[in-house]
Amino acid sequence: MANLRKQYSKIYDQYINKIYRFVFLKVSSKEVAEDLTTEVFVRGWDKYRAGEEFENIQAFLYQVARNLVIDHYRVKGRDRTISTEYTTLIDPRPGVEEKAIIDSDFDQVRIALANINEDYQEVVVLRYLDELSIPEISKILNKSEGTTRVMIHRAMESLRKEMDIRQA
Amino acid sequence: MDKELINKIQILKEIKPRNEWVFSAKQRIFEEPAPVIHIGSRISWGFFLKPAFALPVALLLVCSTFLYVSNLNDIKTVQLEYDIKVAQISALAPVLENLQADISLARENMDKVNVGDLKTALKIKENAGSVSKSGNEIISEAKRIVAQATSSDESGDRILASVVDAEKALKDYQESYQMFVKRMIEDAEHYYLGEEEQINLENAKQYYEEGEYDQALIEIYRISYPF
Repeated sequence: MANLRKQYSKIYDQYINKIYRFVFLKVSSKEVAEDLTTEVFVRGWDKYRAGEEFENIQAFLYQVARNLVIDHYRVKGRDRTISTEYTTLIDPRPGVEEKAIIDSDFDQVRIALANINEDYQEVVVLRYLDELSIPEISKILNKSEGTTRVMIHRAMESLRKEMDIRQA
Repeated sequence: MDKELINKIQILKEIKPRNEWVFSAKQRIFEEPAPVIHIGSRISWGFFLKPAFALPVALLLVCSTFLYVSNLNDIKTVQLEYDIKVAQISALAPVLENLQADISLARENMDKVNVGDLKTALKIKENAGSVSKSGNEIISEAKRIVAQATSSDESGDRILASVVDAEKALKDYQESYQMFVKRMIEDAEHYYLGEEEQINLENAKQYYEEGEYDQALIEIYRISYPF
């Protein structure tokens, strides 16, 4: 058991930031992101210590995170739409208040991302922020690689348009 | 163009969870649902739910109710006011006795912990926060009741003396906790430390100097605990 803990501890260290960020960008709340991210790793640990073999632990964690976010909105009946005002209010970067740096690129991209289609937002984050491969993303989304490539392309187009609107 | 956009997306990597949460969430994930035995079940419960503290809290509520009643003009009589004052003062004595007993117990438990037992040390950390917070709340509530309910009679003076004793016990406890953290740091100085662990140790010392004892303990824990 100690050995399993050690192994899973490494997995935790490796993916905690990515999974948290992935969830945070979907829920825009530190508290909710923390709760859901904890649940992701609790579920992962339950399966891991039960001896389940993972083909790709990263894909598994993202899938769980994705499902938990969906459940979060479904069960609570929350509106998924994130307003521009709301996204600018919550800045999750540690110590940012102290630094008092106005980072316009950060805000711009975040707001733009929050305003594109949910599926597009997801593939942009997975591909360009978390730097997952196309096969990995396909697995998480349960889509073919071809479909995933098309989605990524359209997502980037959509994001670019949204950015242009904000810069205009 | 795409590269520029990708670079902008990657700025979002600045989004990071709080370090303290990352650490505590990890602990919770690996936590076994076993009963806490190292430092006694009384301390490991929610502070106000502990038997010893449930009584003080209940008594304080009773005292507060008396105070409320005493403010109702329509039932105010000299005799009633006198009875209420007596009841308030009488009720405060066991509250403060129990508080002192619990603080002493928490302190004894802390003194028993072996320096290398980091898991128990973390439980001590959690309890230290509860003891201080709840202790302060009870003391200030007791002071408020004494200030409102008594004039300069003897029983009021006795209770005030008990409040002072409780405050001293709490202060001693907090000093013990400080010494406890210091012991943990001194012990860690004898470890063979790698580069990252050395940084943890320096962080711990820094937090200690700043009076952030909980954080100091977390840094020490990071050096050694084999998840």
